[in-house]
Amino acid sequence: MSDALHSARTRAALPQRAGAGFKPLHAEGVFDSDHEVSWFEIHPENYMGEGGPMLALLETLRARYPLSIHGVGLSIGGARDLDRAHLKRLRGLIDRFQPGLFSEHLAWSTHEDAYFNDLLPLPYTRQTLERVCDHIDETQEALGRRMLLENPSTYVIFETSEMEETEFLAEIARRTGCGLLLDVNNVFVSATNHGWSAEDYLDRFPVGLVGEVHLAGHKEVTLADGARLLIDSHDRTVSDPVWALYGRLLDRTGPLPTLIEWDADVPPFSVLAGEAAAANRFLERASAEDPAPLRLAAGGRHG
Amino acid sequence: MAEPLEQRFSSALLDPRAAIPAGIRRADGGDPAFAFAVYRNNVAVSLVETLAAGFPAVRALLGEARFKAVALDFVRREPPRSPVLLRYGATFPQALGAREDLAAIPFLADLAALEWARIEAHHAADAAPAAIADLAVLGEAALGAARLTLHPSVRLVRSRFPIVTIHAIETGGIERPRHRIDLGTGQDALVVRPGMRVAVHPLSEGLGAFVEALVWGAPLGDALEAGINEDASFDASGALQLVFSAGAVEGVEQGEQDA
Amino acid sequence: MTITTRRAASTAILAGAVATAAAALAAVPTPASAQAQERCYGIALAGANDCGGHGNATCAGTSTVDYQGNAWKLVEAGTCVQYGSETDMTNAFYLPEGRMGSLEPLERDLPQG
Repeated sequence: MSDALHSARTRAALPQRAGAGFKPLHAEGVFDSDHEVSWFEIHPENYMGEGGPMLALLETLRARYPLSIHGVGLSIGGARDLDRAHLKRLRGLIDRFQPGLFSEHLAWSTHEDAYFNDLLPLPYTRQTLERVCDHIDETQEALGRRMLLENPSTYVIFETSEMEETEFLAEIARRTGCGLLLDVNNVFVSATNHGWSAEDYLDRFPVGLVGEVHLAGHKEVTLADGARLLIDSHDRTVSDPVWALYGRLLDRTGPLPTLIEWDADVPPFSVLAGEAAAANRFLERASAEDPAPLRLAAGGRHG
Repeated sequence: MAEPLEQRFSSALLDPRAAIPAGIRRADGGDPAFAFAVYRNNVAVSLVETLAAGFPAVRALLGEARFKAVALDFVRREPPRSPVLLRYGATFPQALGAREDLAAIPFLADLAALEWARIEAHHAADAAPAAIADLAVLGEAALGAARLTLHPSVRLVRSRFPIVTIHAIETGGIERPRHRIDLGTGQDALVVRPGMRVAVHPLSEGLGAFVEALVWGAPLGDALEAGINEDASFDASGALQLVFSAGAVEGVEQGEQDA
Repeated sequence: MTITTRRAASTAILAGAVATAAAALAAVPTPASAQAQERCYGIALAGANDCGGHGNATCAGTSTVDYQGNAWKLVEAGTCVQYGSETDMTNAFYLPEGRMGSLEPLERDLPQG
């Protein structure tokens, strides 16, 4: 419906303020209350029907706010060829809703014909590097724009890995020209699970390529043998150590568009808005302290 | 290396008895099987939740624990083929119907088919419904050959069981009746979303055959006959009122007339 | 031959049926188009509100109480107040125990705790 309206829409850049993951049930709070959430992010897979209330609501959202599209289903880290039909659907949504950013994950989720609905880990080898770079080239080509790639949260490590995750991500960005999405909670979760230093990870991360930051809550579980593991659960407020890492990051980069993610046990919108307000205080401080942030590489376009 | 790793990873994700992939470990040196279980759990829980959200009446009928077991079995046998999970579950009704341990609930597959029809209608293309005036302008002689193009959201579920009533009871749309409902009364369901809300219209005998003929693209005259063949007292005017007032017709096409 | 006879019979029935149906529906407005919607509070079933109802886990329904007064659903414009007006349990506008749809948030059926 109304293609003429869509064609008039142009890309709206994400402000260097806090955004939030959009939940249709929050529509009332989003549209009717004063809040500090300046932009919203969606998972495109939830809006890939032909029509209906989900897409209608997204139209309303996009008419009022800049949007980020954050894919969960492309399986960029998978051995399988990318799903061309899925790329085409993504292109359709991107052309229609003109998001400020499109991002995906350094992970795989599809094998042969099965889609697992989880972000699965991959070893960091020369072979997987080639594959991920090919897939990102193909994605950026198919979508006609630059994408951001997100660092994962992981629960196991691979004996075959030859590179550090930061090194792997930096090399992908160098070869493909893609930007990076830095999920600070993922850094903390993986670092804790694998005995790394989260601070070292951040210090080694190519922060000049970061176009967006994610913040979320995690939970701690006890494994069957009594060991403790952090799970990237997105079901609670951002933890204090993650806020501290976020502050450390912004000291280096200056303000960056920052998303509050909350995907399970979703509270009223006011709680997300409160987290966004907390992120905005960090961003305002960073903005005051660092007038010349390292953002040259992050805002560019592909091609 | 990577191919076989993913192969083993995938098999172990869906089969809790399968060995975990070689080559993964935990930094603390502990058994990686316990950490791998997190992935296995994520996959199982998220896909079972997807089915639970899509099939609330089946869930209510089976109860939480039984639904989870049945859904998990389905997830393991027929994992999604696409990352677009709003299309996951099309074959769940058939799978439920094929389970011998659920044979005591003979209407379960039809009830699930109705829930799937609602999901499809929810995400179907938007279109403005036609008015009956679009049909009334055709000359008398043209009516029999005319074809009603149905709204893209239209789905028809035909059942020997009163599935519309059962669905309403199990999703809380109507109160649970004090008496037992008569399972011998079949109900066909016309599912349609003319605007933003999915509606389910129970169809009396004859109407189901009429709408089914329209779904197959039959001319109006043939659809009418299909209705009369199923129910001699078929009310053609009532049938037309229903499909137009439900917003189930998107357009009227003039067919080839008899010479 | 048979076909022609049948056609003739159905043409006659149809002509009458279309005329009757058109007259009956003349007083009724055509179904609302995709654009015209309004928010209607207190009519959504738990987990069945317009969160897609079905999809990636990130879109899980959070309305955990049936007919939750502060959860809304998009309905065709003008129809919200009809919710609760029907006593026929199979009618789409039926709501149990005298509940009514509302264009404003309601205090009833809020989740506990």
